[in-house]
Amino acid sequence: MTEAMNTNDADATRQPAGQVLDAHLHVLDRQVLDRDAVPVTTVDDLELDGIELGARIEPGSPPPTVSAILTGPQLAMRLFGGHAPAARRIAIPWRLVADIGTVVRLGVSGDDLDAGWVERWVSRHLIGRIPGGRHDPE
Amino acid sequence: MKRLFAVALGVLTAIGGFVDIGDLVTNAVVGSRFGLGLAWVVLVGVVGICVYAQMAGRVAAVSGRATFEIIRERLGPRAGLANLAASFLINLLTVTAEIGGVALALQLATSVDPGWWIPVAAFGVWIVIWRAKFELLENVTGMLGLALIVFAVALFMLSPDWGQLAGQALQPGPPAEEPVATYWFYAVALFGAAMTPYEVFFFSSGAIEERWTVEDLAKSRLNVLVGFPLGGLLSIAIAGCAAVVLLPRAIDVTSLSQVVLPVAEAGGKVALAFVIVGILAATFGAALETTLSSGYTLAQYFGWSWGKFRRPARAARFHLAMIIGILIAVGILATGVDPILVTEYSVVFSAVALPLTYLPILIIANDREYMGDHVNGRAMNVVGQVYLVIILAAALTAIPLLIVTGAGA
Amino acid sequence: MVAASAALALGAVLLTGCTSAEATYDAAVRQGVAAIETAKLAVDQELAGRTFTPTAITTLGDARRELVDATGQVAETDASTAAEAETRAEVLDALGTALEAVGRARDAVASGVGSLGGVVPQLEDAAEELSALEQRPTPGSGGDG
Repeated sequence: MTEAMNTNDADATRQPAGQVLDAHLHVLDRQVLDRDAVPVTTVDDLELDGIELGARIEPGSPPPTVSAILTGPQLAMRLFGGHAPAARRIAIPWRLVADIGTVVRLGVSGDDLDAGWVERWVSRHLIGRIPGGRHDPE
Repeated sequence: MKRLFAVALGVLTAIGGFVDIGDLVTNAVVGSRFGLGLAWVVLVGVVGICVYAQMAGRVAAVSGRATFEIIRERLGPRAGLANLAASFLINLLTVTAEIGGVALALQLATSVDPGWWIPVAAFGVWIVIWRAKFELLENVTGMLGLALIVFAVALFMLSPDWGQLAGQALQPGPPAEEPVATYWFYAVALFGAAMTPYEVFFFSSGAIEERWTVEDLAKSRLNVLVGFPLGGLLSIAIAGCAAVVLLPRAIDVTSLSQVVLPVAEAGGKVALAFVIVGILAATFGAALETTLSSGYTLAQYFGWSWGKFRRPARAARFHLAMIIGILIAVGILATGVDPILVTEYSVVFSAVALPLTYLPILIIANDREYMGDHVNGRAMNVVGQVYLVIILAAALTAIPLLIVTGAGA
Repeated sequence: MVAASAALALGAVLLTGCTSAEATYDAAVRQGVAAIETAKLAVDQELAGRTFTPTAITTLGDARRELVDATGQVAETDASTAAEAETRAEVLDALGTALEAVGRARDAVASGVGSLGGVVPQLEDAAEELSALEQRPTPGSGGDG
């Protein structure tokens, strides 16, 4: 699993194995593509494990890990403040991330994800119902 | 030979695609009131859009990302959202103007009230985006849009006093009869019409759709550098025709029918046929591009699946957004508002929105993380920054001038 | 920033609110001249076969709409002096003549009612009447055009 660390970490001598990324610069607001390079969403926010809101991080304690990409209503929270109740959050578990470059690539298809439900709904109930919607363009 | 044809096609499409309802109306209005006195604005605008279009194209080809994706990444979601809101609304206004323009052109051909043509035009725009292979449509409308060259032909056929026209063009400042504020209002409007923001979004998204690489950049550069200036010359020809036929008769242009009067005067029915076909093609093509632009900007900000190459069911929210946009445009036009008025407002607000589009492009074109070695050279940055100043000046003065002159009354 | 734009907006309201009646009449006359000249040009083109009939019909319809708009603007503007009242009456008269002429022209082209050639002198008279009003120096407060 790729550990995302804030590069302001004072302990720079201890470089972990794998990629070092700045969560803000390299992960947030990036496009998320699925296994077939179809866009799924953008990274609206990240869910961190092992850290309590407002609590201090004691020096020497294990770093918090990223547990999920958050999307959907989370964007409004990030822009305007506030917290979404846990039941409404739409998350892509971090273990599904295969690669991070200029985009975040998942190892699974977007069709299998919670995060794709709006797209699937619109596709099935609106766009798919209009004649020609399921065909490739001529 | 085939390559030559492809190059020619690209250039021709750029010319035909450069002129839209905003250019048609604004240049004719300006020609009928100021002669060629504002021709310099068209030149400034053409250089500006060439610089920025090729910058946006380079960003897309090198980074593989479309403009709005990068705006959110680089400038943050808040700035991106503000940008999106403003761009989307102004884009919607432009879509409304273009669909209205299609309806007006159909009225010119048939004398049937444009109110009947609006749903037809809107449906036409939608069905093309829904089903047709886009390259085909782009080429068809681009080539047919070339019929607008008849404006240049007509100008020559009118045997104008070239010295007088040149005198108008070279005269610094407004003519005596028109107030200074009105002169600058129309300068800003013309600038907004020439540097249409949607063009850049469309251009860069199209580059992604067609999977441009750095090699394709050279081809696109040619299309832009030859096509857009020729389109600018066409704009000046439109103003020139109005200057020669309408200005002496004190006819201030307020309708599309007046825009074509000089062409009929010069070349009769044949010329008129060309110009009506040209206007239809140009406005329809522009309606397609602006509608797609609105879809692109929304989809790229929110990370939706997008693209005309995807079947609609696989880019559902993208298509839904465009359908809603078209419906809103039809709704606005259904209130009976004059499409010419909508056009005039859309170019002014386009001028206001210009910094939102161009500043991010300039920033990203200098960002090594996205561009690698293809960042802007010094010369390009100097030009880009000069234009940024011009763009900011236009954007800041647009609304005050709009209010003070009563929309150029 | 907010204060500046508020001041600007207030200034704009004052500016537009203070448009004198004369300025409205001047603008309406200019609008009328543009419309009648458009109509004349369209009729000339139709008679000479230089245009398509639907195009001419559209052009005449647009011209008529402009005249109706100009008439409405003038009719709804109060006159505060006797001179203004007289000007308004003259402007309405000239616009009315133009409106009638353009209406007849459109009828002739669209429905074949009356002869188009016969309307031409009427159009020219209306144009003369309107442009005479334009040339004449307006009495009372001469607002900026």
